[in-house]
Amino acid sequence: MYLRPITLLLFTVWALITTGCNGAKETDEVAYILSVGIDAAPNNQLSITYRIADPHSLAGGKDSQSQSQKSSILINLTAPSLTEGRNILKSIISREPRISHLKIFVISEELARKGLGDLFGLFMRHREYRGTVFLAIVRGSAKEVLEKNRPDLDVLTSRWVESMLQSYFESSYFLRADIYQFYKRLKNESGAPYAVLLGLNPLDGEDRANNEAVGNDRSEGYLAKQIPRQSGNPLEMCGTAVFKGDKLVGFLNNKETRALSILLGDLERGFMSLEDPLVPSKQVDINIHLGRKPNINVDISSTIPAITISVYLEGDILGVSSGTNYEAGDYKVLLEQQISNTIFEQITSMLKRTQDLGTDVVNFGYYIRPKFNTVQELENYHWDSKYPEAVIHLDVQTKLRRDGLMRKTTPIRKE
Amino acid sequence: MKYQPGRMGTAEGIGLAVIMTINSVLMSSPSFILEKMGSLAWAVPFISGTIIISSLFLLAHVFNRFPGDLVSTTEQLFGKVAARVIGVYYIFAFFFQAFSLTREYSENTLLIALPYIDLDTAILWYGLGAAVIVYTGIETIARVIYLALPFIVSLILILLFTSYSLWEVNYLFPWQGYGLNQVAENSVGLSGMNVGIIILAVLAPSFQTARTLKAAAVFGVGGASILHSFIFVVFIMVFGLKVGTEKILPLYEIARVAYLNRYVQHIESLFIVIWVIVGILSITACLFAGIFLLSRLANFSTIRPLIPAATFIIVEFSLLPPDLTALIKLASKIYLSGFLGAVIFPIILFIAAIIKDRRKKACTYDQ
Amino acid sequence: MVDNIFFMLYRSVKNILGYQPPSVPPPFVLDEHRPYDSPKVANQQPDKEKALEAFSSLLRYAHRLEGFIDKLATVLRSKTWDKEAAEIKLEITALDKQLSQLTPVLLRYDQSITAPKVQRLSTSIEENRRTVETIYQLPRNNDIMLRDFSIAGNPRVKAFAVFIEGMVDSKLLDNSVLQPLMLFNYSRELYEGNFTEQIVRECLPSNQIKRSDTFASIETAVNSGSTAIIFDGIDEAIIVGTGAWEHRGVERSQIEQSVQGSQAAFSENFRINTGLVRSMLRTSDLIIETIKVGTRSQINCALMYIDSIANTTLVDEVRRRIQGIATDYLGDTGELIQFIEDHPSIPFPQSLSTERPDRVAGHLVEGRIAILLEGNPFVHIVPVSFFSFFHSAEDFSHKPTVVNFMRILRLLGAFVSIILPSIYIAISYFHQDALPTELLLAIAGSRENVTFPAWFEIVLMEFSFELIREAGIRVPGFLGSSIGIVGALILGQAAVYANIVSPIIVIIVASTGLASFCIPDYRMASAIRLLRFILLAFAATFGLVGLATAFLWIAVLFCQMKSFGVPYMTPVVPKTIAGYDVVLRGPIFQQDTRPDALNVKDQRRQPNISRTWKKINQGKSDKP
Repeated sequence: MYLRPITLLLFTVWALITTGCNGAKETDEVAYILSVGIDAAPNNQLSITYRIADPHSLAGGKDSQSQSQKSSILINLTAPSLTEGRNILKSIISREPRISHLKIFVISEELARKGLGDLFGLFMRHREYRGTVFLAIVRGSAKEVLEKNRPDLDVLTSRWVESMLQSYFESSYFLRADIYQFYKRLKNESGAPYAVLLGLNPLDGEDRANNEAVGNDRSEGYLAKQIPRQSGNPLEMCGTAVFKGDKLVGFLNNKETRALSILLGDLERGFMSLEDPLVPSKQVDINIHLGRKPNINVDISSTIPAITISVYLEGDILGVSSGTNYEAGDYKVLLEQQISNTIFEQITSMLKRTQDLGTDVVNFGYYIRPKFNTVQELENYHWDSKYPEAVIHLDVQTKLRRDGLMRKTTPIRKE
Repeated sequence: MKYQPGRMGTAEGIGLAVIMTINSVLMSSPSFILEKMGSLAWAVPFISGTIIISSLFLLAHVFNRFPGDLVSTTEQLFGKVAARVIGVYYIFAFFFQAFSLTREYSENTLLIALPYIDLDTAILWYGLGAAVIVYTGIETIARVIYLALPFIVSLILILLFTSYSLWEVNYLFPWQGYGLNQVAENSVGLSGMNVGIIILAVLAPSFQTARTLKAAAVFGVGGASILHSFIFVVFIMVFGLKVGTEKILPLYEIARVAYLNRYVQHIESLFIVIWVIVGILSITACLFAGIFLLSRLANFSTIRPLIPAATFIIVEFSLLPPDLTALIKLASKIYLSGFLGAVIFPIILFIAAIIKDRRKKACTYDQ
Repeated sequence: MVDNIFFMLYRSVKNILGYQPPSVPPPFVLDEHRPYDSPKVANQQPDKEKALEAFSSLLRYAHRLEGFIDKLATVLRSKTWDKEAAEIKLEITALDKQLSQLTPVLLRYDQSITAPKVQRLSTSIEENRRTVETIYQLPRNNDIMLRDFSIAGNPRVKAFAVFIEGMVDSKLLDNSVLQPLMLFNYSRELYEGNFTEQIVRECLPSNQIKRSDTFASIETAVNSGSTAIIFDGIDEAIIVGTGAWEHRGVERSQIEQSVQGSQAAFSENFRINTGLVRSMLRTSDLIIETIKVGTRSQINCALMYIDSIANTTLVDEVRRRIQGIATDYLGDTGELIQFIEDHPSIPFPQSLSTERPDRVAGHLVEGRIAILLEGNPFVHIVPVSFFSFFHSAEDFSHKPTVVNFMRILRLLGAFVSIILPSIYIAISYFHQDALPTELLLAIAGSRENVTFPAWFEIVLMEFSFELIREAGIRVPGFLGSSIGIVGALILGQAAVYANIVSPIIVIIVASTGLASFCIPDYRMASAIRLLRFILLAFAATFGLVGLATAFLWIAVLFCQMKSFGVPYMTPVVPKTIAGYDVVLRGPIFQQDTRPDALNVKDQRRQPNISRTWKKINQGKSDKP
């Protein structure tokens, strides 16, 4: 009955499907870029490194035994901009390079110190770059980082990146930082952008950290690249890169980063090894987490703003090596005091460093917003210039909640 | 009349009301409003929604006294010429909305879903999609809208709530935004953007009673305003003021930054589905309203032959503006005149109805 | 003009541009039922009709009296009148009784206030016959049989038997009821002493016999398969147990199997089928009209509905449509339904086809109409809504929570079976960024060695699957299962191994096929299968944009469709007050009203508190 019109329709559909004028792409016509590393090159050029997934090795079924180590390929090129780099990339690989599955931007310290504003013009406008792409600053060369990253547990580097940054709260020694967060802090009225700090460890076991332990903490703070170790994936995430405007101005080490995450209100758990308050040669192991979000209040009535912070931590005792009965009574208060002091000092040192750098990483400016009636007043206040002088009152309270599986420790029998 | 659209109830009225107001939120208007009003932008939908609801109430009152649709009632009150003029104005308003929606939706389809497709193809697709539905008549259109409504609203809510971890409440402060008078001024002007809601008055005879019309206005426009406002709130909380004003497609951007875990991310494709459905449905409704009014004015016996022609003209028109920004600029100018249709005309009709009513009573007393 | 594609195209464009509104009658829309359809109003007949009724009753009495006088005259003229004395005496008492019943006050009382059922039997056989005809709405109901006969004896007594064809055992009725009454009693003197007592004692060899003097008990008995015999001059009837429907070779349902509930299915025999429905629904409100369809081969088509529930305009419309079929032969209910449904060109079923009498009964009680064709075990139920196709026969046998889970599963299955292949195509062609990276790379990896484009893979596999399905139906039964195994396992495995399709396609096509089997209605499943291919084309052309458009169009189609004047998507759009049985269903004791969209005569099916034993005070207040 309608045979001929239907035939015509089918032919039209067939033509539409096969001619590809609608932009359809088979999965084997596309190359998925998983991570991009950007270094500064001479003559205002960029040295761009792409890590591109090789789906062959990921096919399930019969090929799974021969799953090669090569799950992705690495291409490095030099171009004046990212877009130009992508054009050149097309001259190298047979497929259409696609950014939409990009997981992480790795940017070298050198380039970051010059400013990232130019890059962000592209990141935010182009539909393939999304706000959820992670942003990392590397101490050294980004190309090397992409090259030498050998995830031990994950097949794909993209998986490594995602797993790493998604589970940052296990230690809070680095923070989850993505483009969206960075850009929001970059453009909105307050807050300093930050990024994850990456580094390639030389794996020689040497302790390069030059800063001393803060408070009663037994361990000193590390930046990426400084952790004393001899094996494993040479790449490590540790610490935070802090920006003023779009320019990198400094780093926070892992302890400072954890202090920052307390103030940002997202410390979920973190272990601490403290000096025993009574037997300084021994140590106490504690697991701390936030009891509630920190209470931050900014008083702007006087010319110098006053910031009042009250932090309430909860902790579990994990190990007491001295045998002191910290589980009960006055001893417990002593230990709580010890923890509070340590955290207090770590936060203070972090805040002092950010004030020195002039970067409001905690985003105290966010807390002054309800104190204004209109946006004009808020903008005229110029928080960023007032932050370095701000007076900070910090109060840290700790409550030990659980003692683990042991009620008390009996001392080791003396012979 | 043969093309008298059929019978509709509150549900269908709510559907029409929502579809006529919801599309502005999918488009770039939130960032424009944000730019003008700052952190109080979320109050705008309430104010303009209240204005629109009250103007519909005025119209419902008029229809109570002088039954008929918009055209015939105007004829009773002001005579034939005025009815024609007002009719032509609304035809223009609906067709303009249909055309600008077609262009905007196709442009943004290019932007978010099919970056490699031709603009012509996209516009044709939307035109075709709408024309096919217009053929089935307003009863079916309204029913489809009502059927799709829960899905659209729940998908939008899902999108909004997936960004929960990014909400920063203090971005809603300072609470006055760029100043209260700014907000008041602009939201009154912006109520013209919803001139499409007059479709309820155009189709008034299809609604069972004036009460149905009122209920549709309150629940439809009210619900849409609440949703609107909530989208604003979330949008401001997620992006803040400065970044917010940069965005062309706010809801899409919220979907893009949502990241629940490794498996639930990149959910903006959900948005494509809402996008296309809302787009085609609202183009359909505008197109139908325009064609219906046109054949109503010209006393045609049926509206169907007009559909291909009108669709074709609208598709051709929407190819005219050189780019999206030019279109948005043009639209914002035209929408100012929308204030005339959405607010001024209903008020004039209402006043005329009251005066005429009194005169009638006066006459009866004389006798 | 030449009939090639260009001219066809030209003509269709011309038709669109030079459109004239068609001069067809407006489509049938089921409206609220008009007040005079309501049974309450029907009882309050205008006074004139009542008077007419009373008058004709009196007239009939006069006729009877006249006949009696004639008879008396002839008897008196003949010499042997003492022989008939007893008979005449009896007749006189009968006439007296009738006269007393006919006093105008009583008459009016009987006819206006009490329904015919509550009446007691009259001594006039004619009056009784009329009452039975009113109860069963004869001659509309074709399976109710009134068999007139006279009892052999002295004198010959007129009588008639009432029974329902298809529910009685004809042999039993012939041999042990009619035969003894009509043939074996020549020598007996009737009307001596108690007549019915005598018949029961001496003439009827049946084992189940009851005497009754109200129409209500007669009706109950007849509806359950018994035969009632009513005699001239006697205000008492004899009810003989002849019900035998349960002994027939009713088989288990093949197509609609269920775990719980009735297992009976319709067969090819017309009267057995109507009898099955009657045996499920024992009410004389159930009307089974028979309409002859076909000019050359006249086949009985039964129209079943419950008179006090079903909307009269709907019944009229369905009857009008069936009577309006002009064809020479109809062999199948499916053929019949295509002649009468609203949109024959739309693949979605607009009537519910079932072979289960319990399902038919359930729908009849909701106010729908069932259409049955002679020689066909499938009954079609109209009008239906889209959601009925996802209900199964046993839904109400289980508890709501369990059933709701299964119903959601079915709808989900339908959804998956429509959308899965097309969404795969849309995402893998246009929206690759919508997938998590690892999943995307796994898909891409599995496709690396495949030489064909993805849409071709899908079409190929879907096509093979359809082949397997069709072959499985067509081959003789014992080969069917082996074809399934060969097809599904070996073909898929080999295709993957040969790099013709990727493993993920096999998974998608297999799960799509599996999901489509969740849809309880076969015809709905077939339509959805077709839809899948259309959506595939849309998805391959414009990705999710195309898919969303297609879905919108389907929604438009659904919202526009009507099944016998009732919108297809009720009660969702247009929104009507729904009993809690649409997608999910509530507890059975809360299903208080019938579907609003059917505009039935009697909206309520049970009181708000249907579990009266839950009322606390009732038991106490009963105590003295």
